[in-house]
Parts: sequence; structure tokens; C-alpha cells
Amino acid sequence: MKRFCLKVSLFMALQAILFVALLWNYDVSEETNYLAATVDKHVRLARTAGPRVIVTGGSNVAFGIQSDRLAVALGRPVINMGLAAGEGIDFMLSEITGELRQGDVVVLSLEYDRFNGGFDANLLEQILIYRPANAVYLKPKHLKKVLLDRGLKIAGGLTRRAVEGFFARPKATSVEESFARRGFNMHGDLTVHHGQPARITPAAANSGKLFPERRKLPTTDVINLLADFAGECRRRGVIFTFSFPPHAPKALQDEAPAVAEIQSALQAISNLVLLDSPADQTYEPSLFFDTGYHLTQAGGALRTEKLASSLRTILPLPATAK
Amino acid sequence: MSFASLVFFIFLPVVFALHWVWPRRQWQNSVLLAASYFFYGWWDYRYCSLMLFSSLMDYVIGRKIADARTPRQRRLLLTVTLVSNLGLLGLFKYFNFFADSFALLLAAAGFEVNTTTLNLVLPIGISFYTFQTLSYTLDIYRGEFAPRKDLLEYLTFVSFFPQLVAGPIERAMHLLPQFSAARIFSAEAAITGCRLMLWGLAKKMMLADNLGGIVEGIFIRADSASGAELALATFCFAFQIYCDFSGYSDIAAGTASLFGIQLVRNFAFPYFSQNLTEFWRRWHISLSTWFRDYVFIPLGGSRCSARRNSANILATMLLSGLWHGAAWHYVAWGAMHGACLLGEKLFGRDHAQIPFAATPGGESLLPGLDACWRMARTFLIVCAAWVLFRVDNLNEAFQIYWRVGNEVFGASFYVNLWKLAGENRAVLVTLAALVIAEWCGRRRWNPLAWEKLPRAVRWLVYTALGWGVLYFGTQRSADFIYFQF
Repeated sequence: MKRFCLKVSLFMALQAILFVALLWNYDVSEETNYLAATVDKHVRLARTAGPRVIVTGGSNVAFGIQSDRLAVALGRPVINMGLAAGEGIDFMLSEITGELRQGDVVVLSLEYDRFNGGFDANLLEQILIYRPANAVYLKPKHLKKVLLDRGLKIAGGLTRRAVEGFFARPKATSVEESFARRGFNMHGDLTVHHGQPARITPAAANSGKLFPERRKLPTTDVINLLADFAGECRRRGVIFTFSFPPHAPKALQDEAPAVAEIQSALQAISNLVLLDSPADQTYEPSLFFDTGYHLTQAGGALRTEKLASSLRTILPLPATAK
Repeated sequence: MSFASLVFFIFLPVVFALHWVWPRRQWQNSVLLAASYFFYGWWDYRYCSLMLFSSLMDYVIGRKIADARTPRQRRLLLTVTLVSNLGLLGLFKYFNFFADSFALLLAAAGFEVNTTTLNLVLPIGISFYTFQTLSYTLDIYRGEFAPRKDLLEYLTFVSFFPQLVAGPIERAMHLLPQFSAARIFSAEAAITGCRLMLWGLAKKMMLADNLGGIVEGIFIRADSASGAELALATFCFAFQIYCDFSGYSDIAAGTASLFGIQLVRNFAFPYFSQNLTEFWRRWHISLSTWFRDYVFIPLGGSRCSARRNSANILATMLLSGLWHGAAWHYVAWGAMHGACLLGEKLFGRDHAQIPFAATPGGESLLPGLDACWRMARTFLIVCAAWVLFRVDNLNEAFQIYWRVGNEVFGASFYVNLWKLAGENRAVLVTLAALVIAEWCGRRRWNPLAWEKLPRAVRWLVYTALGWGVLYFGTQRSADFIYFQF
């Protein structure tokens, strides 16, 4: 028995050494996938001096915020951490918590369907392959579906990227593609769709479902999580705000009771500043780009304008704007 | 919990350590039982109650059958177990199928009926453990096996995690006695088990999952795919299902070896078979022998008139098809195999009884032309039947046969096939390597058993295979196909 265990341990140790050696060559600097933008967003988050405005949420934030305009309006740097709603609220808040500094403002804009506390394990798996350090942001609820069930796939993904580094770099994705890392600007906004015609008809934008999953919304877990995060922000001298995601008028009308429920649950959280109401974030259907959450350039400009006005009411005016 | 997941590689060493830390029978069985329910409950803990119910029912009925004083009582108890087990299987797996089929039949006769369908989730592995518990009571009824008094031992036998969700379907008389005594660790068996697990993982993750990508990509647009594409997809599916299921069986047998338990062999290089009779002796052996012993022989087997024998073969194969899934295309798959087996039996010139122990494809390194022809012919028939297995409905299967049949005699079919093979060369070259490795190692269960090679060489091969699994096997992973049955 001892000999067998020794042999197996020795063999596994050799493999572990090989794995670590291989990871030495791990490099995703030229990775083109949309989700690989998490690497750049974290670099910017760590390097930008405060006080800052950190905007986070799903892809509605990536598509619909123009950080340069917001920065000028507010006189402080803006970092757009929005990537994909599938990350789930726990992961989104966890990845900025450690980086919060006194004087920062956090703007959360979460897609309605994520108020169920759910997440997309496949998407988190991909994000971990592009930035393994993101594993520290995982919560116990992610353990089973992301790490234990998909750990082997994550290890495989890391291996492939490390090995490919020896031979050939991934081919650069065309910048015209909406979902590509190169489509993001230095602030973390997706700008590749700017100037492009909408890919969704106004009728389709209007009929977009805000809640694809019919589950009880919002869950107590999510509200408790937001309340805890609000408490943490207060302790650290950070202002925590919430802005409702954009939607077309009819889409909101169809889901009015559920949205109202979310709004009243958010209003009850102390230390959370609601910047707007769901009605304030209603946009003409023609301002949506490819889904009922993604705004076009014109829609993004309008949304940024609204956000800047709301934020100005809680922030001191910048010297340039006086 | 899937074998191809990180959690399994954490779970296994923990259970291994706990199992061997105290080599006492009760302790070892307790560890395996707890581990098995944890393994099964990882998918959905609610499944465990159904398995426990099914196990307890057969445990009680098995003992009552042994204690029954009259044949009538024994028959009654047997009926209870058959109705209960098959009833559970019918409820979860076949209710909607029979309800819909009944409605269609009535509609064809001009009656309109509203059928009730149930929205039940099919518990993973229900067909496997139901057949295993059924065989336990059937063997007791036949007087071939004495019921177990030790409940722990019996529950461990039913739920033993390596073979719980996709077999091999173990017989009580083979597996249960292994839980009746404390296991003694054998390093040799454990090492063989590790090799078998690695080989199984390589088949599942490097081949089955990647072949599955090709298959799905073509079958999803079967109505617009060319004949060459459909032929390639069918060929790939033949190996996908083989690598998936035999890979699972290898991992199961290898895992069981780590606990000193020997499982029956489930696959013995079936694609080297020279006729369909041989194929069914080498493919999913535990299911084939189950149907042989509990369906074919009780129906009369071969010791009856030729007509009755033919009917018995057909009935057995139809039931085998239905076991795989609640849909007519599975029944048609069974029927096609049954019809081909009959044809082979009645008209086949080379229908020799090939003993199972014989090396598949003959003893020589290079097979003769005759053997090659017979293997190719058998493989083609099996592939044609796999179309019925893979499709979603019979119409789709007929379309595929029609399109391949129309194009197969034109040169463009082969040009396209060659082009498609070129586009998927990485997977197909790996597949060719598997076929060569299995051909060369077909005298043994595990082609990786190379004791004569120096350790450094063996470790190099194992390392390469392990890294191949990690590199190629994690790009596109899917559940084991047989989990759905």
C-alpha cells in the first residue's frame, strides 16, 4: 500500500511540477475573446488613482456607458468594469471590493434577470481561464458549479493557452466584431459598435424580455448581499449607488410589477443611493443595438448624460465644470 | 458526479484513504455506501431516495421469496417486484412515450383523445440499478442465489458508485460476495486500475467528446447536410458512443480495482467483430448477458423451433432497444439488429460460433483479407443501425439513409468525404491511433498494460496521455451518453 501511494504521489507530483512549469509560459496578452477584457479592466482598476467612479454590472454597462464623457463631467477618472451579466452579482461586487478606496463612487447597474442571484458557470469558467487570479473573487456558491465541476476544464484551458504560447499566438479577431476584447477602449467601455447601425429592430427591442427566468425576484440573498456591500462601502468611505439598466418602454410595461418589487427592495437598503428610477432608464427602441439591454452610441451618450446629472447631485462639482 | 470532473479526482483519494485506513468489512462497506450516495446525490440529492426505496424493496422481497413456503407465494412476490421495479422505470422513463404512442394509435383509428403526460426528470442511471436489483430477486426466485441478511452489504452492492450510473450491470452472484469479506489491498490490481482509468479517460475526453463536436455539428442540420457529411457523422458517432461508453466502463472497472473489487468486463473490442453475433458478445456485455439470461432464455432461447427462436431473438432485441430510450427510433435500432442477427443466423455462411475468449480479428498481427472484409461488413451494418440510435425521429433516419444512398455511388461523395476528413484530421488521426493501439493490445483488457517496458518509458506514455486528456479533452466536455439511459 505504502509503495503504491508513494508511486502515485510521485507521479502526480511530477505532473504538478510540469503544470507549474508550463504556466510560466501562460500569457493572454494577445487573447482576443470578449471575456479576456477582464484582464485589462483589472489592470486599470488597480492602476488608477482615486477618487474614482467605478461603474459595474453586466454587458449593459459595457455597451451603454461612455466613460470619457462621464469623467469630464465629473472631473474624476471612470473605470468601466461591466462585462457580462452572467458573472452574477456576487462575483461583480467581489471583484471590486478589494480595490475600493476612500472617496470612490461605485455605480452598479445590474440586469433585472440577475436579481435572482444566479450566474453562468460556463462564463465564469472562461473568465477564470483568461484571468486565473479572478478565482479569489469566487464565493462558496460558486464552489460546486464552477470550481469542482469545471476545475478540470479550467486547468485544460490554462494548459492550452500556455502550450499555444510556445507555438502560435491566437489569431487577432476582427475589431468590427462586437464581442471582442479589442472592441473595448482604455476606460473599459465597448465602443466597437459606435457608429454602427442597430442590429435589432425597434419592435424586437420593445418586446425584449427583462426576466427570461420566471423565478422569485429579487431574492433575499441578493438584497442581503447588496446591503452588506453598502455597509462595507460606508465603512471605507465609498459612495455606493445603483442605476437601473436601460430598457425599451414596452419591455418595462410588460414587467412593471416585478420591476417595482425590485425598486422597493433597493429603496429599503440603507447606504445605497438610487440614482434613478426604472422609468428614467427608458429609451426609444431605436436606441438599442443588438439586445434589449445594449444601447447604441446615441443611446449610450444619452444614458451617460443622465448618469452624469444624477451623480452630480451627490458629488462636488469638478473644478473644470464650475 | 462525473468521472471527468475535478471533484471526482478529489473525491476518489479521500474515499480510497478512508476505505483502506481500517480494513474491516463493515467499515469498508460503510465507507463505500456513504461515498456512493454522496456520488449519486452530487447530481441531485432527491435521486437518492428513489434508489434507496428501490433497493429496500428488493431486499425485503428477496428475503420473503427465500422464506416463502409455496410456489404460489413465490410467484406472487416475484410479480410484486417485477411490477414495482418495472413500474418505477415505466413511470419515470416510459410513461410519456406510451401515452403519446397510444394517442397516436387512437388518432389513426379516428378517435381523438387528450393524453396526460408527466413532466418528470429521469433519474440518472435508473435503468442500470433497476436491472441490477431485478437480477438479484430473479436469481433468488430461481434458487440460484441466497438472499443477503446484511443490509449494509446489499445496499453497497446496489449503489457501488463506480458502476452505479452507467454500469456494467453487475449480477449479485458476482459482485455481492465481494462485499461479504474484508478486501485486502493489492498494489498490482490498484496499478492496473489506475492504467485502466487513464485509458478510459483518454477515450472519453480526447476522443468521444471531440468526435461529439463533429457529430452534433452535422446532425443538428441533418436536413441540409450532404450525404458525405452524414456518412462522416455516422462514422464518428460509432466511435463517439464506443469511446464514451467503453471509456466509462474502463474508468468504472479501474476505480473499483482501487477498492479491491473486480467488475465484469463490459466491452471487448466490439468493432473488431466479424459478425453481429460476435459484436453482441463484445458490446455492452453486461446488458447483452442480462437480456440473454432474463429474457431470451426464459422465452425459450434457442432450444425450440426455428420460428420460435427467431421470435425470441427479435423480441429480445426490441426490448433491448426500448431499454435504451423511450422512443420509436430506439425500438427500430433494436429491430434492425434483431433482423440482421436473424439474417445472419439463417443465411450467413460464416456464422461460426466464435468463442468469446478468442482474440478479436484473429491471432496474427495483420488480419487476412477475409477477416478484414467480415470486420468491415459488420462495422458497416452497425454504423447503419447507429443512424437510428442517434436521430431524433424515424423520418430523420430515413432522410439520412436516402441521402447517403443517393450519393454513395458518385465520385463526389468520396471527394467530399476526403475533404471533410482533412478538415477534422486532428480528431481522426487520434482516432486512428486508438484503433491501432486497441488492435495491437487486443489480447488484453487494457491496451496500456505494458509491464515489460522500462518504468521511465511507461511513465512517459502515461504523462503524455494525461496531458493529452487535459489539453484536448477539456475543450468540449459533455456528460457520458449512457447517463441518459
